[in-house]
Amino acid sequence: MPVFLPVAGVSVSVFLLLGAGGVVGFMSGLFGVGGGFLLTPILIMIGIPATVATASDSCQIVAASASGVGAHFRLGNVDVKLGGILLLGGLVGGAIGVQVIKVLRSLGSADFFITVTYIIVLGSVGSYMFVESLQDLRRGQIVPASSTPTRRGAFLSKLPFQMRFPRSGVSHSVFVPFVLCAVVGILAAIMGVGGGFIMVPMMVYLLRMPMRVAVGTDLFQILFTCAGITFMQATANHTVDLVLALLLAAGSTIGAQIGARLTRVLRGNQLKIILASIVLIVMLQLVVGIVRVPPFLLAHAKGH
Amino acid sequence: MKPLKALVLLCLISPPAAAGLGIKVTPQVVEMGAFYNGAKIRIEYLSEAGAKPVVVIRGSEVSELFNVKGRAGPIWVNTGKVSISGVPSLYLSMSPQAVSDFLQPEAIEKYMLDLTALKKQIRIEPREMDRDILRAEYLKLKSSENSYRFINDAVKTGEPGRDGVPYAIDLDWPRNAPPGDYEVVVYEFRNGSIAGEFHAPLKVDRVGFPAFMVSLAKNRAELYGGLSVILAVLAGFGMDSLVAALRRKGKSAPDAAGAVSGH
Repeated sequence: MPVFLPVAGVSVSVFLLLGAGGVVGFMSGLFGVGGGFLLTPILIMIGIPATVATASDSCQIVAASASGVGAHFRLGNVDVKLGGILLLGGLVGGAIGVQVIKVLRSLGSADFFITVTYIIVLGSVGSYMFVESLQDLRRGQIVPASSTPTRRGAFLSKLPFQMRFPRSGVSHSVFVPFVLCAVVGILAAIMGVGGGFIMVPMMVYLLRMPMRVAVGTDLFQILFTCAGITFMQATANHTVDLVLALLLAAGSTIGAQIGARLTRVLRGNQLKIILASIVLIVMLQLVVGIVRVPPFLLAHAKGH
Repeated sequence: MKPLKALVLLCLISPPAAAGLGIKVTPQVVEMGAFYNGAKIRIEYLSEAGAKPVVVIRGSEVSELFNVKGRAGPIWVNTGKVSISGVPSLYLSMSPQAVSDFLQPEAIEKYMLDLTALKKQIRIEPREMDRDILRAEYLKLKSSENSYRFINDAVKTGEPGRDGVPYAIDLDWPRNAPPGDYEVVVYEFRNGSIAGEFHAPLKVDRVGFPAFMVSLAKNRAELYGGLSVILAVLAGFGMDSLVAALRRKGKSAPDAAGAVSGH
């Protein structure tokens, strides 16, 4: 059943959009990632202009993360206090990242820098998470990560403005989540993604949050970030296709519910190892993509 | 032979084109409604006996911006941007047989009836780029997107009548061709030379709900942006509430209790 997407100006099957949204929503609910890294290329592949795909994807992420946040909230997986600090840090980092990209573009080395950053970040995060989760699974370890004291933890506990985050079961100086999230925000802006892939591992390994709370809290901050992006894209570029976004959202909200429920069935380490595998597959795909001769030497420029 | 009668009637009413014959495009406006999925277009043309028609549909000339990929060590990255202009956004050429069978290369080039002729029209900025390679890449890309097509057996010839030979083309309009003004041109060749050239407009336009949405997105962007966010949030929380309500209902039902606990 075809539907004409008004802003994109193309006709696409409704079921194709529902299916694509469903897969991405499932990942969103399960891993707390926005899924933009996956959905935007799919939309471009089915003929939607890149600018419309990017903007409409942000809009559907708002719906999927709202659905996921609702489900995670009931399960007690959303740390609103920590999520608020992460959101502020992410916004500051994102603003810095946009300026970094501007400078790199003027130097003409932005694309090379972005590609290399992408591979290094995804490769390191994915490998670390994969190896650690695999070791834990082999040991049959079910002790929450937050209970393991480390030298780094001792140093962090001496920083000023310590605050207790009961939902996550951790205490940190306000600066720790803020600065870490600002760094993720910079990377996310440079890489052109929402940052869930970096944010969730960062919350688990550096903030020592339980995996499920990290997923729910990440969705909470994604909801606000993507709402801002959607509004800005709609007003500045007029590229949000609401019909496209709502059809994707119809699929993704259902997928997000299934994903969120599945977090109760899977153990934290199992979730981590699946996420690590997906991160590594994306990284490998990226490596193959840049080493292989491209089918065309020209590609439509996004124009923004 | 209803269409032919209509065509004859149209020829009687319409002002004569060149040799007194003309073209008819049905529909003249392709309407992109909420469930638009491409369209069937019929182009009818009445020619004098012995003529070879070539029908071209072309979009307006646009300037497009592209990233150029190049090698940086072992990897392929975007090495710069080029602006490409001088050629139409869409170019569909349809003839009864290969144009090289009845036209000299000069005529093919003059009327842009093959890819080589189109290639010569491509303008690339900045000029320092390797333009030969980029022109070939541009044509490869447009052909893969079905924006440039040359169809050699698309023109059907009817039975010659008193008024001439009827030709017809039934075309599946590319469903992803953007809205805009297009032009249908019939080149009539006789003995390898041009005998007539006839033009008809073809408009592709959004109507109804899509037209309303685009107008809202462009003219009331703040409202549209706010609405997009609110609807997305409502869709998300709405779906979540629905699932939660269904789950509660399932738990309260005695048969479902086992399934939930088993889960």
